Amino acid sequence: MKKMKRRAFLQSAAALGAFSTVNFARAGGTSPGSQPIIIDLFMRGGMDGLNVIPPISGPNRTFYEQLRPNIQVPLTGSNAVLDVGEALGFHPAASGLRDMYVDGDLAIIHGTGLPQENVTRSHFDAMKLRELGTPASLSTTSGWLTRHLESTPHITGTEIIPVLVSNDSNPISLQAYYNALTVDQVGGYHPNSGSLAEKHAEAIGNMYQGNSALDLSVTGAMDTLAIIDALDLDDYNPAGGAVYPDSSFGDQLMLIAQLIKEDLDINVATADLSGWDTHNGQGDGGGGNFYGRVQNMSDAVKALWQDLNASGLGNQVTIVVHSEFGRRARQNGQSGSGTDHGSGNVMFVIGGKINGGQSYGEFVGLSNEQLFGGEDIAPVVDFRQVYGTIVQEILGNSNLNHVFPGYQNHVSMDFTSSDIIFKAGFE
Amino acid sequence: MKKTNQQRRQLLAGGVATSLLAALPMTSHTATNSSGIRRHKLVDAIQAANLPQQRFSHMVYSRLGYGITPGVFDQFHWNQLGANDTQRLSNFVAQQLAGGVDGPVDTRIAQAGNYVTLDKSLALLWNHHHVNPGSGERSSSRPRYEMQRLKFLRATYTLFPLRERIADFWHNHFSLNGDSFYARSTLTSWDRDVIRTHMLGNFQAFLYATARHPAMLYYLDNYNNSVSEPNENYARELIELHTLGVENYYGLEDQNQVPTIQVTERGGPWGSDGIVQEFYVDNDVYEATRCLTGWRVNDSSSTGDTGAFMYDDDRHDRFQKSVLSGGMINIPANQGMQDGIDVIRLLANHPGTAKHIAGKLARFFVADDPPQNLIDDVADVFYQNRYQANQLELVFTELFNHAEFVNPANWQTKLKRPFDTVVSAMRAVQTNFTIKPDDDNSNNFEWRMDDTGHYPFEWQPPDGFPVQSNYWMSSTALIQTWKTVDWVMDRSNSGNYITPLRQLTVSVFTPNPDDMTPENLVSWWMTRIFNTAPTGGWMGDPVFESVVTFLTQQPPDQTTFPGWPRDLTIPMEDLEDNSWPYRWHERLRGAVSLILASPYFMQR
Repeated sequence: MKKMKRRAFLQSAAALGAFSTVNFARAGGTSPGSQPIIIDLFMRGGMDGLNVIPPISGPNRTFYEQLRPNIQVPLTGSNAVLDVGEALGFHPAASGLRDMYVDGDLAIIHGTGLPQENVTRSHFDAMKLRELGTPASLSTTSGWLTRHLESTPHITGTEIIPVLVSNDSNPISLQAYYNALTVDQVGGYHPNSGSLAEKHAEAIGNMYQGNSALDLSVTGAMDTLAIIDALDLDDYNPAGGAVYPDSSFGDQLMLIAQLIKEDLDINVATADLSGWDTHNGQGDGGGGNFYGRVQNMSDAVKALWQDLNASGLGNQVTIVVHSEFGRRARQNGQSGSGTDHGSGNVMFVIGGKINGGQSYGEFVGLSNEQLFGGEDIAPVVDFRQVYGTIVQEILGNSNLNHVFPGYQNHVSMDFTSSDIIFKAGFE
Repeated sequence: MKKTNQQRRQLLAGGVATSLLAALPMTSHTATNSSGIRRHKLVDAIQAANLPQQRFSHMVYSRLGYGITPGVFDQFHWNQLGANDTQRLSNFVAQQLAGGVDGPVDTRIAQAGNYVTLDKSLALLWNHHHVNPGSGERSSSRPRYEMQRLKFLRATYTLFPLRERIADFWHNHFSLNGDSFYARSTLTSWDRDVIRTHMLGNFQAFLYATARHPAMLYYLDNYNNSVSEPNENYARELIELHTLGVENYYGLEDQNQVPTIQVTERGGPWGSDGIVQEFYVDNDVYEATRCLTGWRVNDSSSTGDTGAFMYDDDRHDRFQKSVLSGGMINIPANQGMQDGIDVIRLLANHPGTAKHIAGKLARFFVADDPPQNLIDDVADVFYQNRYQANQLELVFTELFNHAEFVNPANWQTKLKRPFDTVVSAMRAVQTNFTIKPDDDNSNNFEWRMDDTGHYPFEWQPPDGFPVQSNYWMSSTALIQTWKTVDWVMDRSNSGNYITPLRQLTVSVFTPNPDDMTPENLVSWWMTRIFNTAPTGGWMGDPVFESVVTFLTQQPPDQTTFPGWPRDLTIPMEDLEDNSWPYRWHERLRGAVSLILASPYFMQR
């Protein structure tokens, strides 16, 4: 593939009339890129994975009903669990996840979390430890995705937009990375929309010519501006009949799909959905606030996958859905109640190179002895093992010791399709 | 587990962090190492170009307020404060902390005429906006709506900007999502009765007031915390965010495994020997949760539905508990509400709380990575004065007069957050804009400001808007902030611009109209906004040159007219009329927007 450097792209965009409405052909050439893309979706606040994938039979169902008399997902009725013929089912609002699972595109990883000796029930520490990728240190200076970008053979320095953050700020996983395109909406995205806009942006760029973090960030912001101006991003039609929910999260994922399809060499994309901190008013009987939250997430992720898959990008993308921790197995009140902070949780991994329709990891169980500290789903799979498998086998980056310093004895989780395992470092 | 926790704590404490970090493969400066891993060129600091020859007064006004405000906060007024900068700083801080009649703010509130919740008591707010809400001025979210807009009005026009910065700090520390059910109808009371009443007072009294306000009780679910349905949300954040801080968290360890310290307090929850845990563990959170059961809001008709704090003994867990006491019982059974008060006393007067809050203050007001001696000294004042009624006033006085505060190494090291950028821009160019409810300009302003990610009271998690500069360096935050500033420069109603750039320029250059060249125009505005000019003038300065280049550009989309020579007089009437083809008024607005987007303005 003939690649064009970001600067060259911007110059050619200018030549085409970057600040006019000239439509813009695919940026990187005539054929789409082939780089693997990870889309990391962080459910902030502690998603109650036990209610997203609840047990529906066996002793765990009995324990589950005892632990959660009010907020359990019922087996019958209008909010009945979605049964896929296994011991665990899907929340009634998670039909999107269920569909991807049944289609073999989504893998469930059970019992993930921080290593047990590093478990914290602080949102802010738990998020930071995960995103830094160093569960024993909050002082690491860069995020794990930053280190992946530093060490993957797919980044050559010629990328137009190596990283897209579909949000208003960068996640800690990209700490110390200053070349992301960070945008949550593209309409009216300019510091001066008048007739002098072009020179205005140029002048801002001229004032930040140094090598500090702020200089680099402003340079990146001005590039973002030019790229958004150069692309024709109005009137987007998702492929494959995908319907994004009418929500901020839906919009953010749609923007990810849209920009990935523009072939800008995106290697990493991230977005967040917050509001999972359901201490109270979680919703009884499979309904309520949690229902809406799950529906929004599930529908948006399914739309993103459908859209990209139908565009022929299924084998290029891997979507990860995760949270900083799960919640306590036991509900913390009676009617109208919720759950407090826990530790172990499910993760979802979706993509054309995922051997989906299966569960991985281990759901240890809900008896008092099986619960971690008598309270939480046991975290038995280091979250780095999940990411490590993706990084090595799908993203083609063999430098796990750089991406996750201090992480040792990695063992593949074998959720990637065996025929597509990427030979790291051979490109 | 114990070993790991100790390592973890040491890491957090910072002492060992450097050496451990050095062991991580993160510090190489080489472009590519033998394993083929490319490195970022390491970025030394967040700082872009610094304002040359920054004045001491500019530094103080930028960090302890919302920047230069011509005619109010500038070098001339600074000089009136004392014989030297040390004395002036001390007097400035004392005057600001003392406060007084705030004429400009009072006048604008009166002129707005539709700030209707400011004088309502908590009971009245509750009755009008929670129990019997209507629409418009009686809507349930009217108090939240007014507090959001008033925050801009106050910050932009107050004579006591340091008090606004301090209020902002505490609003962040005890952060609430303004849209939370009870917060939205009581936020006026939260701001007045809790934050502003206590922000310079005693921390324990402050903490106690936050714990009893319906906005906090609801936001962190303690209103629903009872013996039959314990909810640990508030207890956890009370410890993790409001007092000890997560740097004093020892994980899921047993209480009796935590190192102890001896404090001077005796009796009550401290026992006879004053031995307490140095750090907290999850069991302390659970025990504190039990202590706080029954702390709720009078929010049902059977009890009067007043919105007031209410202790409900029927919901209280009456048995004995141990909090921060190494597992020894220090909260006896049947104490009732005293249990929660004991928790607050233990936390407010713990040395870990002093350190946590001192660190936050230093990161908010001084530097992202402040010197440890500053934190230690401020923590010491916090702790030594913990039973003084003016404890926090003493803390702020120490912080702002500290040698590390005035140490130039720490100047201009922080990026202004979007709120601060926009407010300081309006001050620097004397924008005349009363932000108020139900007003088109204010609505337009809000839509833009919202996109910066820093609209007041809209941060949802309980940790408050981030303070680290890095967070605000995203392209969205930067672009949307500058877009908002540009809107403020451009906004006019029937030809009346809310920012008087043209009037000011015309009045300055009218005596010598031939002097109004692009160079002189930019030079005058930079000198005005930064309240300084480098020796030898601005010529050659990168910001100056960038703005001059913008100002003198060839009119876009046509070729007949060339770029304007930088030393050629601009016809006064062309500026006044914004005449085609050069559109001097539009150029002037863009040029001032650019000065306000420069690193000299963005860093404080």
